Amino acid sequence: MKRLLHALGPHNATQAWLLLALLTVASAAIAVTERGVLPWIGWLIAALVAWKAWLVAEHYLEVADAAPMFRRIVRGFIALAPLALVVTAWLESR
Amino acid sequence: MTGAFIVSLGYPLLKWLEIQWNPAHGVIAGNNAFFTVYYYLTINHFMHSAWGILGMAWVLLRVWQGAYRPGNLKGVESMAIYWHATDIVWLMLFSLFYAFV
Repeated sequence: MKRLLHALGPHNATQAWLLLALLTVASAAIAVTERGVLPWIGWLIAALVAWKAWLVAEHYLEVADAAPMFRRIVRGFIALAPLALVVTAWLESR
Repeated sequence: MTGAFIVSLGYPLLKWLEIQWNPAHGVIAGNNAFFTVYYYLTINHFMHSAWGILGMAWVLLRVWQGAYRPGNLKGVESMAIYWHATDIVWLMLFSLFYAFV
């Protein structure tokens, strides 16, 4: 799985930037077209946020090269908002 | 670097437009806890971004002066880390205050 993610992911900062731009356009398109009718939209937004934050952390902050403690703090921080969104979506779906 | 600096100026411009738009549409800090936290965190983020833009201007000036050399890029790297850390905070704020409301 890790190898697959690595193979599919961007291999340099330019590709990461292009993917971030694409995800931003996708997010904006969802914001414009979605009007609270899709029950799984919270999950989708959580996934997009997690993906974008992961791209920034890995390709621009280069957390893989950071000290283990700093790496854990950054990865923990970027998990907070997606987790909050998933919990919110789950609570709303009940 | 010049391009990045010019694009970064779009953020305070958009923020200014947002602040103009908000009261006209009833988005006021005193409305409820959500809007209070929204203003508190987004203004805080704006202040950090403003420092980042000033830092970018400084790095740009130093680039024009030829201050950076291979092996001596700590100023540029520090600026980039600060900017992207602020960017990650924005991703969190955007998803919690804009995308899912």
